[in-house]
Amino acid sequence: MPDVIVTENLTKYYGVHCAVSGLNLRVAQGSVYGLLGRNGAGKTTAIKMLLGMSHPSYGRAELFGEDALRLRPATRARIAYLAEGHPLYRWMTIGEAVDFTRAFYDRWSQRLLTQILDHFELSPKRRIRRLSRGQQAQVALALAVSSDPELLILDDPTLGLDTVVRRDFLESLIQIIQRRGRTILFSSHILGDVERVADRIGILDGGVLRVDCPTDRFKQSVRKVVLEFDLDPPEMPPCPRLVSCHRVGRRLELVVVDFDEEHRRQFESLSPRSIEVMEFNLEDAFIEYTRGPRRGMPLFATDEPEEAATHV
Amino acid sequence: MFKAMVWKEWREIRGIVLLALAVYAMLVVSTIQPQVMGDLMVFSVFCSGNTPSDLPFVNDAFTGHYWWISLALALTLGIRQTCNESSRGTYLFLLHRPASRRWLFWMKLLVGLAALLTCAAAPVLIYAVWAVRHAMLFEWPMTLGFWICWFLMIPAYLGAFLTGIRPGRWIGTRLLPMVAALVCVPIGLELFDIVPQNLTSFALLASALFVVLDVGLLLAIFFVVRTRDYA
Repeated sequence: MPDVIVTENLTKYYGVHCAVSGLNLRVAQGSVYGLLGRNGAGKTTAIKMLLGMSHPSYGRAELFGEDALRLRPATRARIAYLAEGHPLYRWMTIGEAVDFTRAFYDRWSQRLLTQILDHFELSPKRRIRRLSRGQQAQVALALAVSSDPELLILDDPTLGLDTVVRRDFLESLIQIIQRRGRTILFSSHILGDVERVADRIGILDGGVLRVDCPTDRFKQSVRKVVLEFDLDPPEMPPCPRLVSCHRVGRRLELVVVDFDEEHRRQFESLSPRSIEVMEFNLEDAFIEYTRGPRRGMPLFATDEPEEAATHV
Repeated sequence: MFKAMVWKEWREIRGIVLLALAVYAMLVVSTIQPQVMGDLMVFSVFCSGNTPSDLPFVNDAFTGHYWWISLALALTLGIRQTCNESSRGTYLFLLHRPASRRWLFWMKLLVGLAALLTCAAAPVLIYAVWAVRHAMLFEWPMTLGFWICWFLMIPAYLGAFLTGIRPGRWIGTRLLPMVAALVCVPIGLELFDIVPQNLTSFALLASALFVVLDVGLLLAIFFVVRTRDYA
């Protein structure tokens, strides 16, 4: 499958603050890519650079082989973008928003739009400013997919939605994905959402892409290892693929990527009373991976440890 | 696409334009009937300084009032068309439509300028119709001062538009284009005062000013449109 999104060393500085650093990303056609990260990790900035809304300080981004800063209108018509907060003209009615948006597209599925609006029980006569945030998100999604885009880029589409609306929104998104082999890139910090729809994830941390791998691979890779000691725990020596190390009483709680026999031998050399290895779900894995004091380490690196982001 | 964009821009500014038309209407009525309307409080501002013997547009207070109303209209329109999109985050929606960024901003500017210039021309046109119907004194050369003011609203509007789309701090460099345009407008007025008062010289000076100031502002606007980040 060809890559629909390609970024090379994409970097954005705001003054001296680096929002995104050396992002190298490839999203293959037909895949659903979840871009994860804590608040301020650089997800929105990265997405804005992908769509040419923000100029990179260095590097470049390509969508469908075209420079993101010079996307032709015909190429833009193949891409749907849901910006964070679902900005729409609040003074418009839903019907007016549809008419306004439809005027820009040669290809438009009014049937699909009507189906989505009917599904969400949204009357075209309703004014957008009178809708709840969840309903505005639904209108934005309906407008985005009615142009039959090949690529959907969604910036935190479920932000601010309550659990029920979020679930409903995601189920609609899954249905839309299943209609055709569309490519979807979406950012979120709600891991349950990502787990449900993404087949590949990237984790941005401090503007750096730390992880880029299949979702299941990430869940299976991150392990919590608890070492119990009879006395105070010793200092933890340098250890490969160690994400974090916390001393809790007479225990050492370690987060390790790709736990293997080498790790076990090294931990046993500390003479703990017991060693317990625990699995994580995606949410816990993400939290442990991104909050550790040593989170800056390039963890998935095997061959090129100096690189900022590495790929599994 | 063209119709949709014109409709959207017009819907966003029509409240301002209709309000300005109402104020212009009051100004025209005050010019036509200063002795009657001056007794009404809402009209008294516009009637102050007018006497029945004044020659409309030549030695009455019309142009002075017109100048401030039009300036307010031009600045409000320019700021409204740009800052409203920024503050509501709708640039991200609009600029992702499959149309060139340049085209989208041209449409904004054309609708804004068309609304401004049509609305700002209304007072003298209404007066002209009234004067012809009532056999009152009216000659187009009398309105030269009016048209000079009208013409100088273009750089004021463009300056406000540029201020609106430029990212920056309000108390800082962001206001510079608007301030610069506002400084240029009285200078333009002075320039018109020192040249012979006839329509030919007006046309020549207007053309020169248009090239220097308005084209400069347009180039700056499209430079910012191309290079700024949208949030």
